[in-house]
Amino acid sequence: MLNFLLRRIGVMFLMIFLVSTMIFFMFRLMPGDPTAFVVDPSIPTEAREQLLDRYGLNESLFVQYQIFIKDLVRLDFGDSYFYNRPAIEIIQEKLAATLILMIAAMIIAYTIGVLIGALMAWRRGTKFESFAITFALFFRSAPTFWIGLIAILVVSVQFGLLPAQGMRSAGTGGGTFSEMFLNLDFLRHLILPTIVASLYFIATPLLIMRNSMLEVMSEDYIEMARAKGIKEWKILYYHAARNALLPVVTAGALFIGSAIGGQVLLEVVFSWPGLGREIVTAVTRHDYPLAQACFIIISAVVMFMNLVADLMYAFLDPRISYN
Amino acid sequence: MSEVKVKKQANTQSVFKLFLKNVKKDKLAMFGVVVLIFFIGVAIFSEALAPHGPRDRHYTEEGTIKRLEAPSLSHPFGTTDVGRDIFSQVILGTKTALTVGLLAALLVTIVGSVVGIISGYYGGVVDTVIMRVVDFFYAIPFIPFVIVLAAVLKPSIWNIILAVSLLSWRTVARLVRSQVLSIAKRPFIKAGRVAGAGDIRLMFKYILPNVVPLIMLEMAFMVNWAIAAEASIAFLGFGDPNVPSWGQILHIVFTTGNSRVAWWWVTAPGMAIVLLLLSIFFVARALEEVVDPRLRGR
Amino acid sequence: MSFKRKSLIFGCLLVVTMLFMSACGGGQTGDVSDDELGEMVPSLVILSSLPEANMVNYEMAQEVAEELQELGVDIVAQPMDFAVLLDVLYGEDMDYDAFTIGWSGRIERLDPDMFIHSIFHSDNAGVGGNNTSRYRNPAFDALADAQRQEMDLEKRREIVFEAQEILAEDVPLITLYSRANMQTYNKERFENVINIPGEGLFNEWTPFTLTPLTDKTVPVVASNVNIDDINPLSSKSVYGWRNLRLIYDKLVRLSPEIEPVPWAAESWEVVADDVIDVTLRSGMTFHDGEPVTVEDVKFSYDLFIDQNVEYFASFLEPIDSVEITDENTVRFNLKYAYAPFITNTLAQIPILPQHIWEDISNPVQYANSEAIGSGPFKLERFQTGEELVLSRFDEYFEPPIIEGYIFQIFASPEGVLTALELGNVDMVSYDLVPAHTEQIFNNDGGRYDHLELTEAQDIGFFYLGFNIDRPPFDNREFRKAVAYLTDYDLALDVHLNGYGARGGGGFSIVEANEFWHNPNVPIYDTYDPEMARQILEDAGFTWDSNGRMRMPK
Repeated sequence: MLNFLLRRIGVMFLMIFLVSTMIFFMFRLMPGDPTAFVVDPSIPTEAREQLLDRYGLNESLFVQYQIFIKDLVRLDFGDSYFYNRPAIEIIQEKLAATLILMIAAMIIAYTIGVLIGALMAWRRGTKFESFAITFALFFRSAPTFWIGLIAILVVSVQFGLLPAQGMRSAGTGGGTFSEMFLNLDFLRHLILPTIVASLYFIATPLLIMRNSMLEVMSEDYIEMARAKGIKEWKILYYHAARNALLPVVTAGALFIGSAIGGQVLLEVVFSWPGLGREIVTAVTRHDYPLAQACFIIISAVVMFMNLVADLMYAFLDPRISYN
Repeated sequence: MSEVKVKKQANTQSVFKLFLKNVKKDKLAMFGVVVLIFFIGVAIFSEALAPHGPRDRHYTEEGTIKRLEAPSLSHPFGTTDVGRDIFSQVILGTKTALTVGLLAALLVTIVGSVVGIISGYYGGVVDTVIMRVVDFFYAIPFIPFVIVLAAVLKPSIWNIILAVSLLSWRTVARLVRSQVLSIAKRPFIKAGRVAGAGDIRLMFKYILPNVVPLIMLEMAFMVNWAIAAEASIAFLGFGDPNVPSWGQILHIVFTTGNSRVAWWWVTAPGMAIVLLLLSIFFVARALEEVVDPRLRGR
Repeated sequence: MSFKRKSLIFGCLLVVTMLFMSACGGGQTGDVSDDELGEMVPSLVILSSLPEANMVNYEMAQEVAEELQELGVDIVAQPMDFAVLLDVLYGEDMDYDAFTIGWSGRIERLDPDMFIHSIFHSDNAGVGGNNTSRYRNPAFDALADAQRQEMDLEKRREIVFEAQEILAEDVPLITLYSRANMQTYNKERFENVINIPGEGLFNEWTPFTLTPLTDKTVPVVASNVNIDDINPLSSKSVYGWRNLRLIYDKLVRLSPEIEPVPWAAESWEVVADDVIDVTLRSGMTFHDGEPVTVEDVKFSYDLFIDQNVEYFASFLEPIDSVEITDENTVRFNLKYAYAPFITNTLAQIPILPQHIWEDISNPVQYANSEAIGSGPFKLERFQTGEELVLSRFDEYFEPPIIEGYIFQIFASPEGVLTALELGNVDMVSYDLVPAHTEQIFNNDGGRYDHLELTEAQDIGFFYLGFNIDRPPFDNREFRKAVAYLTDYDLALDVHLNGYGARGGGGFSIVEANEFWHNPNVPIYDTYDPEMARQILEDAGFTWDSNGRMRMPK
C-alpha cells in the first residue's frame, strides 16, 4: 500500500512537471503582445521594450523555460504582469474562494443526491423516479451560467432575497481567514452560487447511487432481510445504501477534479473572486505568470483528487489490493 | 470459427433490438428519441428553415429599428437589441451545436476506443505507457485548457472541436480498456487465436463488436460534453464570433447588458441547449440499460 | 440510371445559365476588355476587435466590409484579440490593410498634442509609432510641430484648427463614433457630483464635493475594471491611477473646466519657454505626519525619470533637469519648449515621500501595501480583485466631506446594475453599457427611482484606420469614398442607442473638446453609397466584366 502511494505521488509530480511544461509553451505560442494590456498603446516603443526586458520575454525561449522550471521547484510562479505581485500570493486568496464554493456545493449535492438516489432505486419505475431523473438531468443539461443568470434575476433582482454578486459586502473584507470567511455576510453570499453549483452536480451522485443500489438490492442479503420482516426504510438505509456508497464516493473525488475547472463559469456569473475567474482574465490580459500559476494549481488539485479517488477505492473495497 | 462470427452478429443485433425495446417501454427515452430526431432535422435543414440571416437587421414600416421586440408571429423568438431575428439565430445555432457535438464525439470515441483496445489487448509496457499518457490528460483541467487553446489558436469552432477531442478521449480509452481486459479473457478470443487470427483481426473483429455498446454510450455523453463545452467557451467570449451558436447568442445578450429586459433572448438559446442535451441523456439512458444488464427492469 | 443522367444534364444547364447571367450582370464597362483596365483592387481585410471587447467596432467593421463588397471589392472583416491587433499595428511587419480601434478620452488628451501630433505626424509613422494609419503630409507635419512650440493659447488654437482642416480633407482615418460617458449615482444618498468629459463622475473633484444626504458617509464606487496595484511606479491601469491620484497629491490639478490650477503647488511661473519655476504650498504633511518638502518633489520627479516609468514616459521626456532653487521652489529645465508641460506633466506626476522611497532598492517591484502619500485620502486596505478602501485624511488642506470611499470591483456590468438597483453601490466609475443606460432611463416599475443618470461627452473616439502605405488606401479619393460608405447614424442610433456623438472622415478632436475642436470639420460625414460610387468613378476606378473594382490606370 505504502509502495503504491509513493509511486502514485511520484507520478503526480512528474505529471505536474509535464503539465507545467505544456502550459509554458502554450503561452509562449500565444499571439499578441503581453505589454498590450499592461500599458497604453500610446507609450513609446522603448518603454514597451523595457517592459519586455523586465518580464524576461526578450530572453531565448530555452532560457525562459529554464528560469520557469527553476522557480517552479521553489513554488515561485513569478510576478503577475498585471498585479505586479508574486502570482502565488494572488492565487492563495483565490484558491480559498474557489475551494469553499466547490466543497459547499459538493457536500449539498452529495448528501441530497445519495439520499434521493437510494430512494429512487427503491421506488423503481414509479413517477417519483422519472421525475427525479428528469430533474437531475435537466440541471445537468442546462449550462450553469444560464441557470446562474436566471437565479440572479429571480432570487436577487426580482425578490431581493440574497446577494447576487461577489463574496462579501463592500468594506467588510480584510483581516484573518476566519474574519474573512466565517461570518454571516459571507454565508449569505455563498448560498446562491452554492445552490446553482449543486443543482449541476447532483446528477452524478444521484444516478450513480441509484444504479449502485439496484445492484446491491439484487443481492441475497437484502432478500434475507426482507424475509426476516425488517422495516423497508431500515433495509434501505441501513443495509442497502451503505453498501452501495462505494462507487458514489470514488466517483465523487474524480468529479471534484473535473468540476473545479468548470467552476469558471459560475465565478464569472456571480463575480466570485476565485481561481477560475482569475484564469479567464489572466489569459485575456496575457498575464502569463498568473495564468500559468492558476492553471498549474488547478491541475494539481485535479491530480490530488484523482489520487484521493484511487486511495478511497483501495481503502473501501477490500477486493482490491495494490501489492 | 464460423460459430464465433454468428455469435458476434447476434450480439450487435440484439443490442439494437434491446435498445428499441427500452425506448418503447420508457416514455423518457421515447421523448429523447423524438426530440433528438427533431433537432437533427432542424440542423440539416437549418439554412432553409431560418427565415432570415443571423446578422440581418429588421426595421418597422416607419423605418425604426425593431429593438428588443418580444416574440411575435414575424419573430417567434423576438429580436435583439439591434433588431436581429433570434429565431433564425437559434435555428442556425442548432447546426453549429450538432456539428461540434457529433464531430468531437466521433473523434473522441474513435481515438479513445482504438487506444483503449490496444492498451487492454496488449497489456504490459504498452498498457503502462498508454495509461501514463491518459493520466497526463486527466491532470489537465478542461475549461481552462480550452480557454488557453482558444487564445493560442484563432477562435473558431474547429479549435473547440480539437480542444474537446484532445482532452476527452482519455475517458473513453480508460473505460474501453477495462472492458477489453475482461473480454480478452473470454473463450472465444482464445478460440480465435487458435484459429490463427492476427492481433489486428482479434482486436477489431472479435473484441471491438463487444465494446460497441459501451462506445455508443460514451459517444452519447461526449456529444453532450462537447455541446456544453462549446456553449461555455462561447459564453466566456472565446468562441467564434462569426459562427452563430447558442453560447454565442447568450454571450451577446450578457455582454450587451440586455439579459434582464429581454427574457426571450435568454430563454430561447438556453432552452435549446437544455432540450437537446436532455434528449441525448434520455437516449443514453436507454443505451445504458443495454450495456449494463444489471440495470434492466425485472 | 435515367435519374442520374437527367440530373447531370440539369446540372450542366444550371452552370451554363449561371455563367451567362454573371457575364451579363457584371458588364458595366461595356465593350472595354478587362485587360485594358487598371490593376484589380487587392483583396483586403479589416481587422476589428472581438464583439465582447467592443461590440460597435466589431459591427461597424462588418458593415463597411459589406458596403465595399457591394462595390466589387474583395474584402472581409476579421475580428481578433486586442493584444494580437496591437501586435499587428505596432509590429515590424506593418502587414495590415485597415482596422477598427479607438483612443480613450483620458483627461490629458484634451490637450490637442496627442490627437494631432502623436497620431498623425509622419515622425510617428514608423514601427511602434502611434500614427498607425501611416499618414505622411509635410504641410500637416509643419503645423503639428508648430502647435507644440506655440505657448500662446489663441495662436496655438489657430494652428490646431488649420491642422484639423487638412485632416478632414485627407481622411487618414474615419471616426466612426464617440461615446457619451453615461454614468449614474444614488441621488437619495449623495449630492453635489461633478461630471467631467472623458472622466465622468469618478474624477478628481467629485470626492471633494460629494455630500452625504443620509448617515451613510462612505460611498461605494463600482468598477467593472480591475485595479492592478497601488505602487505609483508600476500601476498602469487607468482605474489604478484614478484612485492613486487621490492618495498621492500632485503639484497641479486640472479644474472641472480643464484649466490647470495650482494644487500642492502654490503657484508656478514660466521663466522662459523652457524653464518653469514651481512654488510649493507650505504646511502640507504626508499621511504618516512627515512634512512635504521641495526635496520630496525633486526626488519624485527624479525617481520617475530614473525608473523610466512607462505610464508617464511621454510626459517626462521633455524634462532636462529638476533643481531646488530655494526652500519652497523647484525649477524644471526643459530640453525644448513643451506647451503641455503644466497641463500634462505637472498635473500627472504624484509626489512621493522621499523618506520611504529612498531606501527601497527596487522601487518598481515594491508592493507598497501601506501606501503613504499626501493626498486627500489615506489607504485603509487593498484586497486584490475585490476592493480598495480609503478614508479621509483629516490633515489635508482641503479635506473632503465624505469620510472615505470604497472602490468595489465587479466581474461584469451586469453585476454592477444589480448592485445599483439593490442600493449596494452608490456610484459607477465607468460608462454604462447602452442597454443599462436605457434601462435606468426607462425606469420600469420605478426600480431605479433612486438613481440619477449623468451624461458627458467623451473626448476619445473610435475609428476605422487605413494603411496608407498600401493600395487602395494610398488613394485619397478611395478613402473619401469609404467615408461615404460608413453609416455614422447606424453606429450612433442603433448600436449606441443614441448615447454618443457622430463620427466623420479624418476627425480626431471631437466636439466635446470645445476649445480645440474646429467646427468646420468633419467634411465627409454622411452615409451615401451613391456618392461613394460617383467619387470612385471620377477618380478613375473602373469595374471589370466580373463586377470587380479596378484601380485607376
